[in-house]
Amino acid sequence: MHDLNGEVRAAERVDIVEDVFRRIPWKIAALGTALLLCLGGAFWAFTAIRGASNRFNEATTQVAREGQFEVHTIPLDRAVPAGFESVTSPAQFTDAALFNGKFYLCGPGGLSAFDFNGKPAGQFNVGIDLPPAPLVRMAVGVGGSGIGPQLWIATHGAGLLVFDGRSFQQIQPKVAAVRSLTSVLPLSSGRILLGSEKNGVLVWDGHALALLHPSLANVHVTALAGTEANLWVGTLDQGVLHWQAGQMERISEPEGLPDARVLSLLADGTQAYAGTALGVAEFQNGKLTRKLGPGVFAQSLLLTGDTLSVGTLEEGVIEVPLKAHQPRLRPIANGAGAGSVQRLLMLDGRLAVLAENGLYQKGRPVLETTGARLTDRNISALSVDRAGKLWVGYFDRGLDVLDADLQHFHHFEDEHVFCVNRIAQEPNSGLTAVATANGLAMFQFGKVLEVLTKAQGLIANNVTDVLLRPDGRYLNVTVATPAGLTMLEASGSSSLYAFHGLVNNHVYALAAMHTKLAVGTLGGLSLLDAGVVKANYTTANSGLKQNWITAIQPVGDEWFIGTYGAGVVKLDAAGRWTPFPDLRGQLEINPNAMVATERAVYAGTLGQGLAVFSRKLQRWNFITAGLPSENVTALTVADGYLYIGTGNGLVRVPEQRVSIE
Amino acid sequence: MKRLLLILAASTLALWGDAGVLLPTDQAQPNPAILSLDEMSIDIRVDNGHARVRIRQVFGSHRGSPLEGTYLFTLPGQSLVSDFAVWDDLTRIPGVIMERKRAEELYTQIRNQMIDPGLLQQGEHDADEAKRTAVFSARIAPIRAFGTKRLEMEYTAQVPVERFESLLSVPLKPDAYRVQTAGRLTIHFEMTSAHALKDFQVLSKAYAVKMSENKPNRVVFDFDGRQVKLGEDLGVKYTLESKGGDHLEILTHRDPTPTAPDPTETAPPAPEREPGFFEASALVAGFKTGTPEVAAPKSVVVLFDNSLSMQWEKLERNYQALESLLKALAPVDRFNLLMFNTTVASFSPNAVPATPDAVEKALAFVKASRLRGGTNLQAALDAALAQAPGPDPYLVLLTDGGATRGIIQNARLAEWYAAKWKQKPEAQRPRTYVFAVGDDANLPLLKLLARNSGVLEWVRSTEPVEFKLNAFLGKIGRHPMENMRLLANGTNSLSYIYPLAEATFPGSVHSWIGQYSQPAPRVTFTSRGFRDGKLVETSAVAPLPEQNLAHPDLPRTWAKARVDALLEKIDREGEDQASIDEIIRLSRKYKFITPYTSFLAAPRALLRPRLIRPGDPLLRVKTDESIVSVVALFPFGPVKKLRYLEDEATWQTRFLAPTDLEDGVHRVRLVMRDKEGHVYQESKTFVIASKPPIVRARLDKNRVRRGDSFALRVSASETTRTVTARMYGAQPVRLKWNPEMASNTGVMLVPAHLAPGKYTVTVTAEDFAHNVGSQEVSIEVEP
Repeated sequence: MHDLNGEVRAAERVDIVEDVFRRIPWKIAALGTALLLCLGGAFWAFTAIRGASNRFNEATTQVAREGQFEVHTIPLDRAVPAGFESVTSPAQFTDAALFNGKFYLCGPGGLSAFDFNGKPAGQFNVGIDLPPAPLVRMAVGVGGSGIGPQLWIATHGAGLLVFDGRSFQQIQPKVAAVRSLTSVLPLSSGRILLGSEKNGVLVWDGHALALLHPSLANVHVTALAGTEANLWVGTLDQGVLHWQAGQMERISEPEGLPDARVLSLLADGTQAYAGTALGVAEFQNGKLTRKLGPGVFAQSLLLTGDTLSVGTLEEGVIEVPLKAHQPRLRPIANGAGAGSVQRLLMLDGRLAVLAENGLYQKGRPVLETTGARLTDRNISALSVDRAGKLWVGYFDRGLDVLDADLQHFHHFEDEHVFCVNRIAQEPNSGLTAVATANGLAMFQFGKVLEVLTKAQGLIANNVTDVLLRPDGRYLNVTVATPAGLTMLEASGSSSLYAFHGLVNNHVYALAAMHTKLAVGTLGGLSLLDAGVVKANYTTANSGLKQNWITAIQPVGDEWFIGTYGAGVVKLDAAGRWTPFPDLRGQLEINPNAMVATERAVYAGTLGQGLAVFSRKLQRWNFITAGLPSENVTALTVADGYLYIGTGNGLVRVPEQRVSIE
Repeated sequence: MKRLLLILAASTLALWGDAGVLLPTDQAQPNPAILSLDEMSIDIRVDNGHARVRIRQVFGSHRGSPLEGTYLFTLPGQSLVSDFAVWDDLTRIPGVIMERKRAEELYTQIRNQMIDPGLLQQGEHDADEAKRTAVFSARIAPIRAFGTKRLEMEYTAQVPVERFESLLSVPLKPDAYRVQTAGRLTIHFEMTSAHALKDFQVLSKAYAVKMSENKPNRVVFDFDGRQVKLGEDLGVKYTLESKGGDHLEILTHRDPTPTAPDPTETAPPAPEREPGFFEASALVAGFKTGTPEVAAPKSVVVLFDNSLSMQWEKLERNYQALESLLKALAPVDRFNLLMFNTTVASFSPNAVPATPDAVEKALAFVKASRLRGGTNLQAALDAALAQAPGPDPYLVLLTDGGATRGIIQNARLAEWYAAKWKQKPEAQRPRTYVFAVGDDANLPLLKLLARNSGVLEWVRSTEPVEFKLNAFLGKIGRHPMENMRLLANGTNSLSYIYPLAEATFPGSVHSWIGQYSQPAPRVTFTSRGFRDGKLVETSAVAPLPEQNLAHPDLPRTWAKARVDALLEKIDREGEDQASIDEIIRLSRKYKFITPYTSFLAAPRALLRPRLIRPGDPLLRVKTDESIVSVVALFPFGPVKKLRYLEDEATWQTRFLAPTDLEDGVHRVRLVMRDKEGHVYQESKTFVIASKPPIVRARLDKNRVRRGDSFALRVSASETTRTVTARMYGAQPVRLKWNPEMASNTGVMLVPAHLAPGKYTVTVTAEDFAHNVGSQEVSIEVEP
């Protein structure tokens, strides 16, 4: 028994799986047992509970017609734009499945296939082979098309992916809000249930995507388990919804659930378990009977005989003997250390643990994963120093400095260099300034020289941007913070904020042109000359359509001003504002994600990929193919390459290969 | 009882807090559909300037499930909370004063029931500052389904006397929140005064009070209403009768019964007979009401602190004080402005006439400056004393008093200044007027500096500045009483006598408070001092009774004065155990908080202002040190482990708020694990504020004559904290929320000497995250 979708008993699996099963060697045979039971279970369930499902179908058919969502079915066979090279991020997994004779792990980076010996047997990267969206959950099931078992993959942002072993198909809801899925549960009827973030439980019948039932709409679903006749829905803040024989019951804290946020579900006939952030609830015949493991952060569940194994966020795996009069928790070694346990499986009759970084059994990794060239996937800042080294700042994992060949890196991470916002270079001195949420770290020759905080004269510790400007023998450093600006100059440090004329205290972006300093804030743009505020621009007195300035890039004698919500506008030296007619609608430019070359201006957007402005054609276009995420968070250009950091990894591409058409 | 969580916290929520608001968790505003204010009773007793305000509120829940809420009460300036209790059904759970160490032990014990960490947000105050703010905040849980929650709160305050007038205000009007409606409101007011009163007025029109007694020495009124909108503060104003000239009154209190030991005392001392307490209160005449004093030319040197520690409210208040001061000067006066941080920068080499143009240039000089780290107060004082002498010299110091360069020890710096000051010829010695700003103002030092013929006024970071600023500015050009002393004849059992004010001006009251150990039938008290160089003496005869329970606030007033004296001694000479023990004992016995005690009934939260923006906000959490893991569960889905930052003893993570997360209050849940594996959870709210305030300003006219005024009506975003209007040459106007107009309103006076022409009125709104929005409106000034 396991906690994947569609739990059934081992003896009840059906022949369709046997051919696959015979070809699997010992190493993952037992795992296959566990996983294939899902599939077998689905067929068993199909015959055993047909009567119940008919009632279920009747209840939902009408709704499906009324609450349908338009979808695009897209074969994922388009050629990847040439030149895009991924800089490997560390493996990160969220789910596992045995399918078509291979073992698959999915995660934010894509889908990894392994052969019977645990060797890599294929890799499908998001942004290249797959849409640029993290893969969150997957399950094997027979869809309504009748073409046999397929791998159904829920994504966060790209809808549903279907893999038949050779090619992928994307089922993409037209409305973006419907594309963020959290769970997938193939049903015996051939329909696929999908848990979504904003639209409750959806059902895909091979032709249409619809709401399962109005009572399950507008629910943030976290997990699905059970069958058509006995469906369990875990939610973010409403506890468990139990659907049985056309009736829905809500079970949350007032009814005895340890916590309203459900993290995992396991259904096994008359028994069910709901893992929450504060323990596990046990259900018998739909009724909550007792709480197990109080305080356990139950991310995944596995039932083996009379033992419930609970995978946690940071305490590894804990076993709960269910027959004991007063079940006590037993922490067990799992090899994943205190890492976050994503999934529990049976492998060769023994417990296997899917942690974020791999699959473990008896303390050893079971599968070979490729080495990473980066520490994390969530990039927040990029810069190349005078030696050609690539500096990669992370959202909350510090900093990597990669050699020019991108093969080796040094990692920096401490209490200050932790949440990185911006990296700036001063080539003459070899100084690198790293703006972080906990101070400004100054590097030289690969070492931290000093960390500047409020104690050293900054107006706030959270440094959102930094600008280095040589001034003769000295280096002037301008520091942006949520509390204003601090200038570090030869005469010492001094600070100014709205009191002194800045349009707003919360400064996000800085850029300099000659003696002028452009300061982008939450409340508009300030232009300073020789350190004195000369002009303030807001939506009330300028061509700005949004006050929140996130990025500024000098281009010739103009400023390109990136905003959070209104794209990019242009400000010229005479103070004239010019909008771009081809940038309409809501468009968020990520903080400090803008860079310019002779050829183009590049801007990283939140959710629309890379915005590219051709300086020759004077127009914008958007690029998402080749990117691991549509959330482009950092950009830099060096040696003819454009480095593109995203919320899900890093790629580089020769700038000439970037389409500006 | 176990589930009751009552956390008393001083927090920098400050202006978010109103009088007696119980906010349901997740609600940004009081919501009577969830929690209604069913009953409220206010009992106000003023005994010779000592006000004791007791408020009882009953809130009714209209929800079918238990609720949590946060009770907020904005304390009037310099008031002290003396009691707080919450009722759990029929059980009254009082707050207790405890030694800080003991409080921490209790904190650890109760931690197993519930841990309450706080949220810290970058760009706001640090944790230390949370200890010293003016908002009293208590977390109330549970509030039973369809049940009621009764809360009691008491605070005491001194009612100041300026120019014989006194104003007492009980805050009821909303500041940050919507108007509350009390299902039933009762008010009982009772005032006694040994000095005769006249012109007693109830300023609030919203409460039709029934006056039952209005005599020179006693005033009583009541109010009883239903469905009363609390849209106005309850204010009373009165004047002390000054016809009789200088006048001394004696109050006494003695309850000889030993007090019962505190139930929370672990080693109660043996009961002792209680001493008696007396207060000698001298009404100082010599100020004529209703006639403006003829202003002789003055020379004013202003020392303006623009070091980094002045960031935010302190700088704003400093600037407000400077602007008001300079604009209050006449062109016959001369001034200079010295800004100081690590260095001293002078507006002008020498003092200049205080013309409107010079004043505006001086203000622009401040605006064009930058904050710099470090404060060399010694160099600043030195530079001010070195200014060329002028008539009737003043040195006005606007600062928080945090010296970091030069001499930094309080006693040494004060000693150095006094010596330097005395080296000057007597006529050139500047009156040292100190306007201290900030909750963390170095009052011991500033008090010592002001003893050089000056005064000290202190305004906290969050309390309204106008009243104190006006009182401070009103004293410039006037001379305080000098060498005020109290003498007694007929007893030798008086001890521990302390003055209640550092400086006294004509038109106010100078009081001393002390103890007596033996009753005496007839004691002659004499107050003696010099007014404009002339001896002023006044006497009164009174008994020191064996028993007199008429003035129950005297013991606490004395204890507070005694503690202040001990704290000053500690500051001057260093800590000693005897002083600390006595402070703790007095604090617990007379119920007020000191730096060595805490007032709590359960773990204290460091609940922080937590305004953040979508994008990449930071979540920062302080917890008990036994916590080894903190996980945040965000309302929009993500689960994040927090990282512990040892240097700051803070947990931190960063998260991306989705773009569709609306501005407003959101809740994040924290799951914490301690070394023993115990798990605790706590919910905290944070506010997403992605937009600066939007300002819409209107004037009631677009032309105004010099010397006339015009009205401003300004609508601003809900998160707005302050709205200020400024115009060249005119005093700035802080606009106030006017519930009837549903706008912020104010009146700006156009100076009579302003040159005719077109002027710009700039209206600036600032929100709690220090985001600012502004609008400019033109007005024509006619001759």
